[in-house]
Amino acid sequence: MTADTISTNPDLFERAVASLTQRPSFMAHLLSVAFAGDVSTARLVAELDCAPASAIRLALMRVPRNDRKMFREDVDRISEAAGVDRMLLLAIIRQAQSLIAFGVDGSANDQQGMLLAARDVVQRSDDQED
Amino acid sequence: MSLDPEKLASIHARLVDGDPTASTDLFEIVYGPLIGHALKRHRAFGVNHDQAEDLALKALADLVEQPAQFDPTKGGSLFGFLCMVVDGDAINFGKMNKNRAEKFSQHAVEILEVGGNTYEIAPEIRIDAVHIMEKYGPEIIVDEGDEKVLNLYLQEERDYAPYARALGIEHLAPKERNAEVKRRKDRIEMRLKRLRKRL
Repeated sequence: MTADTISTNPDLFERAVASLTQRPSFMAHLLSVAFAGDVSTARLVAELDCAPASAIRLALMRVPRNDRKMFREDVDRISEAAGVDRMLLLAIIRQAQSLIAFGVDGSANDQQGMLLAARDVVQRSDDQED
Repeated sequence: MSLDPEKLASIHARLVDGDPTASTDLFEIVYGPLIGHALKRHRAFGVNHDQAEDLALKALADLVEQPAQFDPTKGGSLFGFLCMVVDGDAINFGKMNKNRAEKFSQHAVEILEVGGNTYEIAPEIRIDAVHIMEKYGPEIIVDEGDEKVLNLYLQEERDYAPYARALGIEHLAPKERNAEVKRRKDRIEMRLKRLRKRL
């Protein structure tokens, strides 16, 4: 298998992404919450401003860890590996975590830690850009 | 098609380290071959392509979430381990299908018409739902409105507005209304989880 397997078999991996929306530990789930259940490649491409294969790759990744330091590193790693703008990714993660914290997807509130980490990273980034 | 054991070992190490990008690399390399393995070994026993995808995806997703379940020091390849997991799940799946076919072969499939569309309700779902409600209904539906909340919950309704309408609390301020909907949904979910543990 070569690294462009996703490009040559997009349907197969799109179905995998759809299934992984049920698993909170995957980005597919966060994206599903952020985009009201629509994780079609077309939607992901439009929202993430990236190539179709990159959108699928992102959805197959794990969500960033809750620890604040690790969260920042994980977001950096995810954005770099998927070729997605870091601040855009952060905003989407934060949006999803807000929705989860308010119980929109019915999952447990242990995502609160990630919400705090996301807010912390965004605030620090804003400070650094001033 | 050969799978590079060293490459897989490296990906596994990254999973253990918590690298969030490792799962994508794992899927890219292993997903297709694992589906192929499931079909090759279990198609003759009733596993179709969709089911093979489900089996492979479950094995990979479980490994991503719990990478320590594979111990590289014990010898054996990661792909071999995943194949073993798929084989186990496929066998259980086959047993379930056989039991289901034997148990429900005497019952017809019910056709349900809703809004011009027809749906088949497999007999086991209908019988199980009736059985569960007859036996355990009073444990799930306790307060007024619980039955409506349960129906919405089972339909995976995410919007809070239908719940608020069902409970007659649309007049409340949004914050109070949403808090009450969440409270009632959480209670139903808790009762279902407790019941599931017992059954």
